[in-house]
Amino acid sequence: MFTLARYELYRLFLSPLAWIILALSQLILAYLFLTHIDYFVQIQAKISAIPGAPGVTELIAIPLLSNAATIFLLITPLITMRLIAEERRNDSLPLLISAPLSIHQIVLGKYLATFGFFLVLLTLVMLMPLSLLMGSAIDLYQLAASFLGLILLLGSFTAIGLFLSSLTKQPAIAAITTFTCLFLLWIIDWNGNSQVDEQTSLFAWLSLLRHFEPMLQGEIYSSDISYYLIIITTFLLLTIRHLDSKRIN
Amino acid sequence: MKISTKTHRLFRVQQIIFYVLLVMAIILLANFSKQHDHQWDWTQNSRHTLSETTIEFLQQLDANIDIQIFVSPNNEYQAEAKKLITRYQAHSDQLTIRFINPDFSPDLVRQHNIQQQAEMVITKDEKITHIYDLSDNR
Repeated sequence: MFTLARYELYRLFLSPLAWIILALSQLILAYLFLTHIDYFVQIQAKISAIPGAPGVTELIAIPLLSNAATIFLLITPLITMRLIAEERRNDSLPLLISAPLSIHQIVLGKYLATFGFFLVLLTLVMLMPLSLLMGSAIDLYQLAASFLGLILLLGSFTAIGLFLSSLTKQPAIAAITTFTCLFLLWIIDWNGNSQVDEQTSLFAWLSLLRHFEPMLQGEIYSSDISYYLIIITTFLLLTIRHLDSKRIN
Repeated sequence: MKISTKTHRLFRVQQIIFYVLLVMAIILLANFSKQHDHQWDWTQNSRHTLSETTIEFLQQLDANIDIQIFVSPNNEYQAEAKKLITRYQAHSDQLTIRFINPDFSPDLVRQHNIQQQAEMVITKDEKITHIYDLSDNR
């Protein structure tokens, strides 16, 4: 399993795609980072008199990570689309299946490799808010909470992408369906935002964004963590199941 | 193993059972996680937690307190007020909270002489207090 994961990660970094995604997402986020700093410098004089005013963490780090989540939403389909769809298109899936690995080892191996790539990406992004430490004090606890939130969010993105990639032979179709699925789960709770008893509704529970926002603010709820774990396990199980049935039929 | 029509059919049934069980497991787990929710506050100044004194005060409440919050559903204070009140409610079962939409109950608004959005009317043993602002700490 780990051999496969290491091999997949190695293969990912052989292609220019991974490097370009790393570089370009850094470019966009660096620009956004500068914009947030600019905004902070502008309003700093105005808010410095207010007691308990939002500080560097709330005005620069948290908006940046919130933007990063949106950008991850856009690039996840590009990374996950090839995972299984390409194996199927090149007819190399039977080779992989007949290797001395069980299906769940194959799926977990591919999942871990992609997740590893996203961890590299996330570490690079986290360096930006951490660089603020040179000039000011930041709330490291809140940053840690956002980091945890982003890890769980990326874990769910990858699991969903992996499953949709196993459904089709065309990587492009996998990318489009993954993007649609993620985006739908992102906005699904926009329908009844103002209802008082929204907390219990199904759509609110399904929303990826709603479970992520409290974490950005530094509130960790055990139900949010279990939501992401449920999503990850479900989609990994579905992928294993689907490949298993492909093998038997 | 020879794969016949029968094994195919058995396989189908097994698939269906798997999906049904999966959906049931998800629903059970989701409900369980909702019921046994636990919150940790990972901010340096514990912004999302009530202070010790507030919690002690809430726990020694003996009479029922009725809180009416006059706020329109789309108002910016609605979510804020709800968040704050839920936090209070977690520590005491003596709080009765009612959100009132001022557009739909003009007679209540007139009766309490409500001036602005997110105004709260707190009633305890016939004693009535008005809170005008969420940061009002009377």
